[in-house]
Amino acid sequence: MNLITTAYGDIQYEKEDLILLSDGLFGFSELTEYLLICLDEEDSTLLILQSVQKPEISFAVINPVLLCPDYSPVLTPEELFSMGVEDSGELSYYAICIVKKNWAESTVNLKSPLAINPQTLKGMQVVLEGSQYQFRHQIGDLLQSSENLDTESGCDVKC
Amino acid sequence: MLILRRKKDESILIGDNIRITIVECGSEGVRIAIDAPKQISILREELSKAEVVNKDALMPQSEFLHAMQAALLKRHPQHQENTSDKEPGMEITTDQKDNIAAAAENES
Repeated sequence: MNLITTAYGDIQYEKEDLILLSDGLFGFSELTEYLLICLDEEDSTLLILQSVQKPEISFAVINPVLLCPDYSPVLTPEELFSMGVEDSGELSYYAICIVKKNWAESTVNLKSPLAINPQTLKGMQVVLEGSQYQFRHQIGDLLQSSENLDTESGCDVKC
Repeated sequence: MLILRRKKDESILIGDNIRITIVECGSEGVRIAIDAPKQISILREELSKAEVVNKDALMPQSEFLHAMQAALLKRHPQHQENTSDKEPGMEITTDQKDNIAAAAENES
């Protein structure tokens, strides 16, 4: 199948590639089908979450572990049930970024990541209750604290 | 701001048609039941914040994206080898990359 996107040109995809978010993203509940696209074929650091239903809608997402090595969200039993898994560790997580001109000022939303079951490609955006994560962490700050702690485990998220 | 003390199963009324009842109190939090007309939007505050953040993140500019990717790659060169097969994600073909480049040019 072919999708003509506003920002990324023509994208060829198969039905099996579709990420299904049955509740959509917060504020975008009507958009339930997405593609995860690598910006660069050799690198999947930064990915694009592209809506299939509205070609102009896309988000930049990142694997949060790259910014915060000990990132380990804990979902509620209800959320795990609806994702069809027993443990939060079985899911893949993507954090949505607000990309600024100065990359270090870009922020990443660690508080409400997108959780995807890698087996079924079904996912949902969750809000991590009572966690130390926030909606807007500056990427520059996160990288600095994870570099400082390179030899230790974890990153020092100041929340 | 009005602050009231309520016990379990007690309610407060707001206007003619909103009733808030305390269902359960515990150390983990308070469970409340809200009876309100359908047209009234009721949202956990953090969900409304999550909506705002998502809206702010909408449609990143591609030149900023590429700059950020380059900066991240510099700091995480090892990630290239670590790309796991199980992670969902599609690659953009060379043709598609050309399209992206063209789209980026059109944008600027």
